[in-house]
Amino acid sequence: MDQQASQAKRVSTSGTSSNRASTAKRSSTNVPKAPTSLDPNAIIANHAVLTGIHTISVAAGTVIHPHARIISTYSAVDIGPGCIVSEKAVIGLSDLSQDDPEGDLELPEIIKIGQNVNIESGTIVEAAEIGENTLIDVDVKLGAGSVIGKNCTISACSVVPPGETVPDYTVIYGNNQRRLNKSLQSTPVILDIKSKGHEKQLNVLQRLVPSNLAKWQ
Amino acid sequence: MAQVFPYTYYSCPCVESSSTKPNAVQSAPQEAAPFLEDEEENTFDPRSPRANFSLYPIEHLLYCTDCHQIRCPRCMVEEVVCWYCPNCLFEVPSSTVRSDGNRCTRNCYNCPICTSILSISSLEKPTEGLTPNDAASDAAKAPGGPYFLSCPFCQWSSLEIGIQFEKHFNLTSQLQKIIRGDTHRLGSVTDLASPRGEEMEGEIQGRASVASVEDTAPLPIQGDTETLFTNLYNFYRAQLSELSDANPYSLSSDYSFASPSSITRLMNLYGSGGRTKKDRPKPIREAAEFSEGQKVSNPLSEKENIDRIRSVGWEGTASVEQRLQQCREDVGFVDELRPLATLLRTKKSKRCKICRQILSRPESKVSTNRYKIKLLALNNIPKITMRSLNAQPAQHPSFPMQATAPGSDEASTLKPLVPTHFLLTITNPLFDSIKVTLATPSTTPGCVKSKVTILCPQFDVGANTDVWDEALSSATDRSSKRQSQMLSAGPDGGSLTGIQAEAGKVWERGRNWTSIVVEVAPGSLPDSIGHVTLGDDAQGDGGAALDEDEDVLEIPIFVRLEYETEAGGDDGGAAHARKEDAGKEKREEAFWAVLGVGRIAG
Ligand SMILES: [Zn+2]
Ligand SMILES: [Zn+2]
Ligand SMILES: [Zn+2]
Ligand SMILES: [Zn+2]
Repeated sequence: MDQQASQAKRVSTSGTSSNRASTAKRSSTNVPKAPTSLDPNAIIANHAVLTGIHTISVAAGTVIHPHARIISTYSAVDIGPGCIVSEKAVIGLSDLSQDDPEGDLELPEIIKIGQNVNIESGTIVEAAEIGENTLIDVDVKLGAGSVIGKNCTISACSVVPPGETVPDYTVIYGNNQRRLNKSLQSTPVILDIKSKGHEKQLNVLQRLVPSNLAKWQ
Repeated sequence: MAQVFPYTYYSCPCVESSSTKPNAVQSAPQEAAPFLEDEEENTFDPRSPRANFSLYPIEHLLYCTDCHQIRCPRCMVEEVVCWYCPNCLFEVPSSTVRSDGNRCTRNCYNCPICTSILSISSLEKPTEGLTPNDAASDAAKAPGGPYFLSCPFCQWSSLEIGIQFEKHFNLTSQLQKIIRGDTHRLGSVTDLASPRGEEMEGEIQGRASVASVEDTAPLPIQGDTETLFTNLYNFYRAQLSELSDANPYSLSSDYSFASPSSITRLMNLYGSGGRTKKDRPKPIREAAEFSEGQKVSNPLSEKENIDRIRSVGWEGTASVEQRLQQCREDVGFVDELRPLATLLRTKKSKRCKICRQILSRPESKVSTNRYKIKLLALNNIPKITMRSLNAQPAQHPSFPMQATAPGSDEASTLKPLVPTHFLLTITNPLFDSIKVTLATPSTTPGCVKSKVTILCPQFDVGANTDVWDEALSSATDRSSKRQSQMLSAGPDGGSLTGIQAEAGKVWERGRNWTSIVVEVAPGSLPDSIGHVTLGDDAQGDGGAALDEDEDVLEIPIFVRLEYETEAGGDDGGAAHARKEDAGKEKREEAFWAVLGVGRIAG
């Protein structure tokens, strides 16, 4: 599969300027600093990577670990407040040739990540949306344009195919088995406990991860 | 057989004995090799159905140092050293296992959905906001109740079936209470005040039973499994005690065949029937009503089940695995699944079935994985390896094990009727040098007859001495001679025929290994496999088509060792020494092995 051809196609479908084709090729060598809108209370590590041409916005309290990559080459990225993006996690569409060889997938205009979402290390997020309080465990792949609901748990190494919608309170576990988290749905106290735990984790990370916002502004 | 060529399987001597019953103790063979006498007639056939059960790679075998024989899993008896919970790693005494069942009675539970370990968490509402000394205060006080069990993996929790706990310890007894409350609520006839009541509790809790759910209460007359079990248990117990009161020869008191009661019973069975009719105990009857533990199938509940399936859908029904884990038969829906007390694991020791010697014994401490005793065949039996001689370039004698890439197709595919040379290397793990005698039938058994010739059937293998001895001493004369021959033959290796193996000569020799050459002329296949349909009596034993894997060339080889060792050495059994001679004893061992060489090309 000719990668360049598919990328060119992608550019034409999204209908933007032609200089994108050159920047899209390799983000590591030819990195344009992405336009950003960062909250002063966000924490973005010095070694995090924010590249692309669309706006990357990060809300207050969110912690982005070193070596996490946020790519806005094809669509803007909006990360809500209180999120954790761990190291080696990738948010954004990086290489579309595998997911979408024909280029007929509808791409999200914006990748929207809700409040208090925890994205663990090694995860690839190409989803259009992740609802609040959702946990995405290590090495998960969320396919392009998929929509993950609120309060979901995606267990380690799961794969959500492109374009799929995962309803609220869904647990994906084991060999892509799914179930509804009825306990969480019916007992709001559990959600409070979980939020409290997330809050504590954020609190620790905010002290541990040195922030270098100025580098990305 | 989808294994990688070449391979070596060792035949356990148990292939010879027709029975592996424990009473073989009486007929314990005194000879090291019981089949030495009729060696000539009795060739081992690796294709016989019986052989299939006694061929193992050497790594899977143990060795009895008293019998001086290989021991396979079939001729070992296992004994439980200890029972322990894999989660909390607490050892459970076997008496407790007997009375309470083989499940952890502490706080270990598995998720009924995904089987991962459940954790106990608090349902206490957290305080709002973060205080500076939040972490410190958290560590100081444990969160208050109520508590619930939750699965960290699939997020199932006991709240889904309406179970909460007041305390975070003693879960088993709390669950027990919930069961009892439940049973009483159901209005079933449970006689927990019976003399066996206390034991019954243990029984129930051993079965990992947890309360059933409020909204899924089954039909009252049906009761749940626990009630049924209790009732049935009591019923049979009452019957048995009645029987034993009336009849001193009843089953309940003594099962052993040697006991006086059993003998009397047998005498009565076969005797002239001296007993009158009224002495005869009334037969044990089956449970006839609910209070006796009878379960009547209810057509109404079937209808209910169908309706329920309709409403909850596929997601609401439990999978077969989930149902099997539940130990209750009437579970069909996800909301009926209960947490499962963790199954206990065992550590086992292995004994020789013939002489009862311990062959392997793990340390009884749960947390260690070391062994106290481990008599591996690998440390007591020479290791036999084989590789093709043609496929290999001239190599350094110090690396005799360097073989051609395993599983490479060219190496393991044999041309029919073309004599091929193979290098057979015997490595000695013993600390005494051994005298090896090899024997093989001149043609392989089976319907494809291949000719096998061992060019040097008798040779010595050095002792497994210190590795440094070899390194410090110069290379053995034989191998250096071979090396010089190799060099003179030219580096291309094409003139290997020039240094062709001579009959009766060892090919190469090292510290504790010796290589000899085996010439194999693979037989021709009757026809290409799969197309053979006609019976050809000349080809095989009346077999019409070539069986599966008939084209695999397997060479049965009989290995006989002779060596002298210190009397009463590491085996600790000087009584078994055959011949004492100035502190040395002569030993003899023999076994069959099978060499898988490769597939014959069709
Ligand atoms: Zn055996
Ligand atoms: Zn336990
Ligand atoms: Zn689970
Ligand atoms: Zn033995």
